[in-house]
Amino acid sequence: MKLKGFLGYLRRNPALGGGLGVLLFLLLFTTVGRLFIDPDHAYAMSVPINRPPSAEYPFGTDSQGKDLFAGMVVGTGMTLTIGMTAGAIGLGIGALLGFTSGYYGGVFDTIVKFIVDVLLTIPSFLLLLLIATTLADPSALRPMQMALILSIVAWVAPTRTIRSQVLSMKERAFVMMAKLNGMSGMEIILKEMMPNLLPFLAISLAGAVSGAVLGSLGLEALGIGNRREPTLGMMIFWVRYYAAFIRGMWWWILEPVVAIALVFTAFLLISIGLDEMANPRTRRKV
Amino acid sequence: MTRLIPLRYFLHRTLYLVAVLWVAATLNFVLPRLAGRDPILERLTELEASIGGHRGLWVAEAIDSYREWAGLNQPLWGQYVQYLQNMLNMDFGYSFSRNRPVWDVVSYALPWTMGLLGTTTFISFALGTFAGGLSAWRRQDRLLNVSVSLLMALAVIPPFIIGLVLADTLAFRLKLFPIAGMFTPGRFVDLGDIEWWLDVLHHAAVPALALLLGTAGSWAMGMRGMMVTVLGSDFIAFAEAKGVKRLRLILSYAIRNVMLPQTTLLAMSLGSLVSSVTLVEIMFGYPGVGSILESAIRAFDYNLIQGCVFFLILSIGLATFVLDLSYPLLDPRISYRKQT
Amino acid sequence: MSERQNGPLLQVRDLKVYYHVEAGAVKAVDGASFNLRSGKKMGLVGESGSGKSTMALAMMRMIKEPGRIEGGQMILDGIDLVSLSEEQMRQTRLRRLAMIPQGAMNSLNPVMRIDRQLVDGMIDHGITFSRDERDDRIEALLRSVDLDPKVAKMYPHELSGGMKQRVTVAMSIALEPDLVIADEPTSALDVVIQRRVMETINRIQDELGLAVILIGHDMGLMAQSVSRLAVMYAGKMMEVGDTVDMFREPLHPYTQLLIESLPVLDNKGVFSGIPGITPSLLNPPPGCVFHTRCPKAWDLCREEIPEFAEVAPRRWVACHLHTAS
Repeated sequence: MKLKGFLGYLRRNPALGGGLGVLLFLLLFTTVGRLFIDPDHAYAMSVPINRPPSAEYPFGTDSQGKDLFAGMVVGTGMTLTIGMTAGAIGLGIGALLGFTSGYYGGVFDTIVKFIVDVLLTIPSFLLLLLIATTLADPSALRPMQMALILSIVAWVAPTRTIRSQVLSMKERAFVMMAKLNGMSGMEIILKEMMPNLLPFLAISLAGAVSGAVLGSLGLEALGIGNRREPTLGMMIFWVRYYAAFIRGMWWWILEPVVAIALVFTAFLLISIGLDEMANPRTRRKV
Repeated sequence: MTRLIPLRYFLHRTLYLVAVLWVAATLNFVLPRLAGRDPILERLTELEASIGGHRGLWVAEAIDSYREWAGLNQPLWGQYVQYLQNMLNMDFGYSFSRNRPVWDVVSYALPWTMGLLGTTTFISFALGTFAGGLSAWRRQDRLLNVSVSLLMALAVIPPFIIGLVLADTLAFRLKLFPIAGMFTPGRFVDLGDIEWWLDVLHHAAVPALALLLGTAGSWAMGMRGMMVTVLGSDFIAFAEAKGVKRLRLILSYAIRNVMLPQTTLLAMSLGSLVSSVTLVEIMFGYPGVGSILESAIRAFDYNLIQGCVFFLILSIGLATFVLDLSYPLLDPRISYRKQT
Repeated sequence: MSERQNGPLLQVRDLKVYYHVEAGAVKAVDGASFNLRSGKKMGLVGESGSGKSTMALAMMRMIKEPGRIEGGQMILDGIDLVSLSEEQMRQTRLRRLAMIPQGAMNSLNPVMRIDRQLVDGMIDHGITFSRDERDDRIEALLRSVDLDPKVAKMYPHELSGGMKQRVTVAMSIALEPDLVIADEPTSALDVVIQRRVMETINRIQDELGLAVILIGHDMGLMAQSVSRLAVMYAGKMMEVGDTVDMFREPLHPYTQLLIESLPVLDNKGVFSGIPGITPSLLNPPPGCVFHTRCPKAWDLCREEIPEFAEVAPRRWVACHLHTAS
């Protein structure tokens, strides 16, 4: 019954429905897809090299001897996992800082705001680059290490969004009432504000995940990350490394590009949909 | 001037600029030390061990000069002060992979990056803003809606990925454009020569197109959303009730009010734009700071990496500063409103 | 033109404004009619959602998609506003009829100084003046609404709510129109300011001989300043008549309930309200729209839509109690 109501809502909010649909497709591709592949073929020197798509290798193979179908299934999953882990950590830190600094204010808030503003001006990608290149061997970062590095910048935007929402919510009547009823700050944050800010938390999460994915792609395209793993960014790195253009290996270029486009489309549509959910005023119809 | 840009606001913004630069510089100092290593010294020592003879002597010399430059024989805070002094003197050390001071390498590449970034951002911002505003105004126009939606869909894909596809199709397959460089090799820089400029444009065209296609849609999206909001506001309705002409309604009432949030959006996006231009350059082998950065990473030339990053942040900091100063000119409320 | 002395300044005939949404047509105004003589002040009352604000927008010809003026006429001084082109209508606004907006707080362009906002409407109506004339005109306009001329150089955010509303009043009378439509002009202000702004509007109306349509939901407040009243309910006109007559003998049960529900000094605190909810404008009930809440409804009311008819001189009502034979 609840599910039916939810599906009904998605019909009225096509952006959210579409975004969740694309995300679901990607998740199915990386999970159910595993039933159709040999995960070992996602790694180098497991299959013949440079084969265009065929019945045997529906996505073709690359110059390192990876089956690209297996590579895409494993790699898309890996990139999504990296992004979601970093995004979740970023949202966690962002929510903690955003709620406390927005609600309690004072010197702490001033400091948080200042740091966030400064970090927003500094391109997060360059920051990531500096951090990653300082590590002992940037070309052997395990996926989870990559996620942790990405989470170093992933909290900035969520903190900003959540803080400003908390600031505006603090003045609302129901929060005032809770305060007058003697609820403690933490109780107000958890019981009164959190439920009302759920859509904003979800928007922040979608933004943080797609930001983290973008960061991982950028770093990996430069060869920073585990070169053994078939993540989407690494695929871009190898495409350039082996000059797939000159050799006309269009499939090798096209596949990660399509997957990347789908990932970003999913998260953008989801945040547009959530935004509509949070501010129904933006609806087009009267 | 002070009437247009209130002094307090000016000082506030200047403080931010200084803070941004200080953070960027300090990160360069702190990060390697947090990681417990000195990548530059490591690399130089490695070189010294691998090559002997005459060139080995040169490396030993390089190590000495590096120690002196970084103040390695001083305590940590002394190193920090020395480091900040070096920065203020525009002395970023020596790039051993290029055998030149970092400043020389970066200062040669920076204008190309900024040129590419500046022109494409200007065109993309203008185009996207215009298209988005128009599509909010004429929501019934099919063709307009389709093309704006297409731009928005493209904006979802990171520009360097678009660049990858464009490089493959336009440069490699159709051979319409060169694949690397900023002008034909062997040509000399001649600012007075129109052909030289055309050559430069020819080389920059595909990277610029990638950036344009990858960003114009987001301006259009932001503009359309804000324009729809502004067009629904009370003051537009009242202006219409006053019987002002349509052109005035669009320009002085709607556009004027949308420009502030739109400029804020621009300022907020500068960081990701720099990331994009860096990666697009690398995809095309366009020899700006991005490409230098890539080769520095390949060579583990840490000094050069730091220098590139610092200068990119410096440029962003300055651009943000200029945009921030333009807000009070766009919106008289800015100096009164509490900064949130 | 000669009509002006005898006949009404404004005749609204069977005006229909529908909003076309996916589920069908929302009949925000459905066949409203009334007359207004020049220099007179009429109150248009109704609950929220009754269509009174849509009426105001329709009279300014500012209904936006998906809404449309579906039919009817609005004849202002012999010209049917419904038939005018966009450009003709633009020129008519401000010159012939003007509006005082509801949300004065946000009705001024936040990035433009008051003086420019005062004159840009005039300039777009072909008025040309020298720098001095312009400044004199601005000063005179601001003084006429009891504002300090210094306000001219200020931005909206530097003004209080009451001052902003005065500015909008000054703008609406800049070209001395025949008719001003004021849509709950003081609802956003606090009570003391409300009163003062209303006094200013009343004074200006007298001085310029303006006809005014005052839109509001408080019948009691309205009664103090208008000579005629029109009562709307669910997009339809229920009753129109002179204020004194209406209060002495309300004909329509809805008007009766509205007047009974007014707080009066002798029954302090007893505010009865009207039971029931307003009907859907998308699927209005058959027959009279008010029958679902009407204490006097009978079979005919559920089947047949009552005609809006003149039951006494200058007294119109849409109710079977008064029109059924």
